Amino acid sequence: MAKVTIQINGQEVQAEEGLNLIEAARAAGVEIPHFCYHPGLGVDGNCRQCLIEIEGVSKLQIACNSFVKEGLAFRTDSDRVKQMQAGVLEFLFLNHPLDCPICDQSGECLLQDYYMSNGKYESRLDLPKHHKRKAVPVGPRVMLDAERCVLCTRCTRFCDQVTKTGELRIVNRGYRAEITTFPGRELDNDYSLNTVDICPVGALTSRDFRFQKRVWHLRTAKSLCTGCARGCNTYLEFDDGKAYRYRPRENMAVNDFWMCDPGRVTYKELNDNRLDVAIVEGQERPFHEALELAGSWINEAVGSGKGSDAVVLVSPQCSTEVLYAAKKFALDVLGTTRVGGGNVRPAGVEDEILRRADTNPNSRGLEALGLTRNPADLLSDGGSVLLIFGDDPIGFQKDLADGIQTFQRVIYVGSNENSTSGAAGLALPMAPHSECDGTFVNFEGRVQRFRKAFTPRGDALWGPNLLARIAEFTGDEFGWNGPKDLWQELTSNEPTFANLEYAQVGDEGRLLDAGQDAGRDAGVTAPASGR
Amino acid sequence: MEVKLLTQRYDNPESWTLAAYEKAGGYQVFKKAFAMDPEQIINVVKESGLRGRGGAGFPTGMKWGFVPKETDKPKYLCVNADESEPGTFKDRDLLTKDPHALIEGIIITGWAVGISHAYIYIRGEFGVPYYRIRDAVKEAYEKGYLGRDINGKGYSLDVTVHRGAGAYICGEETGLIESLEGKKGQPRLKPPFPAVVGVFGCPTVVNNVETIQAVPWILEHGAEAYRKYGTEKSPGTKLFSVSGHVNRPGNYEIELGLPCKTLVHDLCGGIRDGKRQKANIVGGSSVPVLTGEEADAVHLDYESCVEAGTMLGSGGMIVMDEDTCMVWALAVILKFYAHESCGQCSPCREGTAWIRNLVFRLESGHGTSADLDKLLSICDNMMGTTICVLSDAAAMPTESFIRKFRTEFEAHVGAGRCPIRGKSSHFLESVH
Ligand SMILES: Cc1cc2nc3c(=O)[nH]c(=O)nc-3n(C[C@H](O)[C@H](O)[C@H](O)COP(=O)(O)O)c2cc1C
Ligand code: SF4
Ligand code: SF4
Ligand code: SF4
Ligand code: FES
Repeated sequence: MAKVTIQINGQEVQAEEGLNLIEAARAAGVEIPHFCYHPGLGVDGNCRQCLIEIEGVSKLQIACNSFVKEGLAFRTDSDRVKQMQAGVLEFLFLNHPLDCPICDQSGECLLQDYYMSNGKYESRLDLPKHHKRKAVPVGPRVMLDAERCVLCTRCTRFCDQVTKTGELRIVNRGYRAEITTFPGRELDNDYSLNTVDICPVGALTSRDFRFQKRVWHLRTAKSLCTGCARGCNTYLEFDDGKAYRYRPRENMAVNDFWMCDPGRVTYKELNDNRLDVAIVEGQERPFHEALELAGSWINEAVGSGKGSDAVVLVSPQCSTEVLYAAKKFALDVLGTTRVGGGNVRPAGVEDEILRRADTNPNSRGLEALGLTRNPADLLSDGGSVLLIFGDDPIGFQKDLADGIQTFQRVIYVGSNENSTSGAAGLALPMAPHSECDGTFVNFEGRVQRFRKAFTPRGDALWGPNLLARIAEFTGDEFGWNGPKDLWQELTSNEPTFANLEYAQVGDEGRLLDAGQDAGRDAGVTAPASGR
Repeated sequence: MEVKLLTQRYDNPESWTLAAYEKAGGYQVFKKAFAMDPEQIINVVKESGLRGRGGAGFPTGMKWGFVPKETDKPKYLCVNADESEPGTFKDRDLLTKDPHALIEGIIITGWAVGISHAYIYIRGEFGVPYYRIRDAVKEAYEKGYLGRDINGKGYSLDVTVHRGAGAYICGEETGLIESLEGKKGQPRLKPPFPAVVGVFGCPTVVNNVETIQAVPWILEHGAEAYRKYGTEKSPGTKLFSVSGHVNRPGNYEIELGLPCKTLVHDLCGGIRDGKRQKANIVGGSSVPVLTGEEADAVHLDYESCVEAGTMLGSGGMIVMDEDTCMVWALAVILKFYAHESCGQCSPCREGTAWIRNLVFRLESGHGTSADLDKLLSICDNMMGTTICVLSDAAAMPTESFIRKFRTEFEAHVGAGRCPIRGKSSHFLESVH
């Protein structure tokens, strides 16, 4: 859209015509406090927190429903505006319980933030507060505290507009109004936890995250959800080597502002049942011993001319980097072309919002590296050494166990203990995507980066490094100086990835065939918190 | 004095029946209208200077003109019969005593604007008015005044009477539309205005009962005849519902511009028991209060009322004598608004209850003088800051009551009870 000149607080700036004034001001570095407006849900105009003064208009106007046009001049800093910013906050706090010490939202609450930036009035309330329902489980994953609610209707609009399931409504009028579900219904759609993200206060909280952590102790890494082939962009929030939650990270080309509930709980795999030490025949072993054992098994096979007989079974659960390293290890160290893999998981639920039936994050990466093979076929003739990377083929497909058992030596490299790691003679701990940098290629062919949140747990290593450590025992020249170094090699060796620099992939990702990349939606730009 | 244009048939026996209406010359004007160009009719209404009688006084012909001519969407008319403003009870009478005049008004408006379906949104608590209009619509259908191909002119119009479920806010035009669509009645953000995006997303005219009922008379007698009544800017007649401490409360159709004094002291027979008029809310509970002296000086037309610092509103006049406690009166008013705020806008949802509670406390004699300034400052934050004007409708009376009767409020402070009525109400106890 065309850029025009407007004035914000007396400063001339260029702004996109037609953009609402909250977004226009934000682009110019001016924050207009607001509750009900959300870029993913549009304008409702109920909170009145965003009142501003437009030159030539006598009444204050709401910024969310006023739009940029040439010559428009408005103020967010006049006395009248400041009076109303504090005044609206005063109204909102009037019957607010101020549970901050026990409220999960504390630390990321817009009421708190705006009180500090635009409120700071002396309390004038000397009447008892009006009370509403507290700790109401409105659904299996969401808890409601009606007194904390500012009635912005973000949650109801989300269920009306995005999931179109409409579970939530406001009942009663005036100061008695409160959020509730329809009688006999629960807030139980596959996206219900997004209401917790968009709720600007502590009215809707996640039953999973509730009371687990004060948010100011959390640190954040840009990550990706591994729940399905969509690859929703996320923030992985963690402290002290433990993941606490995912929050969706805005990407208008992939997931808008949202992520699904089943995907959101996948962070638990990063904590639970972790394979973080080496296990040999069911016994925990010192890591270097296990590596040496792996090296000797491989030497044994290669030395007896059975290298080409080995199989490397990879998975669309692995990062592109791990897949590339595994492929190279197969070709160069083992000297086998029997390398590849494919989906072993049952199909997931596909819907018209985000969820994909393919529950693997990197099927397209596997394909782009030419590694897509039917696991059963690959395993069918048995062989000397079987190297399995990630996932749980036996757990998901019992039949594969037979094929796996026909190999003389089975080495499992993965992040979690499961049926396959248990069946392998040797299991080696690999860092999951929370513990290293890397990429997945989503169902559309979009290369997306995830970032390391914390250092690998226990003895776990970044997959390619783990292979490099094994190669130390086979005497091969193998390894990289970190993910960036590997990526550079990958992009020059793999034609599908040609010229895809990290910088180009950026935070939004990049289609393998960049020509197609028109994006799903032009979308407005909002800060990643989706506020 | 009284001028009976809309109320001319009130005294006929069984005035609400089709027979009585036809006998009085009814259902003839629409035939005249059908011979006119729709645009011509809109022009007559514009020239007549008819202004909306629902409260805002917006020029009716101009409102009709906002409806887009070129559209492939159906157009709707909503007759606002939600009449819930405390003090206002004129539409109830019109519906009860002369429902066919409303239907004829609807037919003419429908022809002029190109309406295919009209809804009469009637206040849920209304019993007799509802049965009367419901039966009248049935009679009109049977007689072929409504339905397909009216009077062989190829014009079809349906009328549905829809009962509200008892919410003042459904009288606000966009709240009405939401409610009609089956949603929770709460006002919409404007623009877009109903004339462009109204019922079911289609162009819609919303008019008060009295407004539509004035249309047949204007078409029958012409714009000029209508303008003979009233003032230059407020032509015609208006119904006033007078309640309170007068000798003869009731509905009065008067020429706009009539001195308020004439209405109160002559037509209504003055203040009960020869008492003094302490205060008068001339236009319904939402408008600023006038003192008795101010009321006696004001003329009842839109402009004079504004000049006097109040509004003509819907013509729901509430007269209060010298024994009335103004704090108590305000408490009663605020109890209503806190109950009726739809609750979307923070200033209105929280503000109406807050000022109500403060006034309850003052009424009980437990307030402080600081409460008065606090109230004024809260009202300031409630005015002009919300989606609809219900917030203002609570703040404006509050502000004016305190400003004009401050000494009465102060007399309550620390008294521990109401010094005027000698006891206090139990308002405060109802706060929860
Ligand atoms: C809170 C509120 C309540 C209202 N209630 C009524 C009502 O009961 N009847 C009515 O005719 N207009 C009512 N109005 C005014 C309507 O919004 C609208 O202006 C009117 O129906 C338009 O008709 P008119 O132009 O013929 O006056 C109300 C307005 C507000 C803000
Ligand atoms: S919602 Fe915000 S202000 Fe309210 S209790 Fe929670 S943290 Fe405090
Ligand atoms: S629960 Fe949260 S999102 Fe929903 S209306 Fe209340 S404050 Fe807004
Ligand atoms: S001003 Fe009050 S009644 Fe009107 S829309 Fe806002 S909350 Fe509802
Ligand atoms: S009214 Fe503008 S953000 Fe709520």
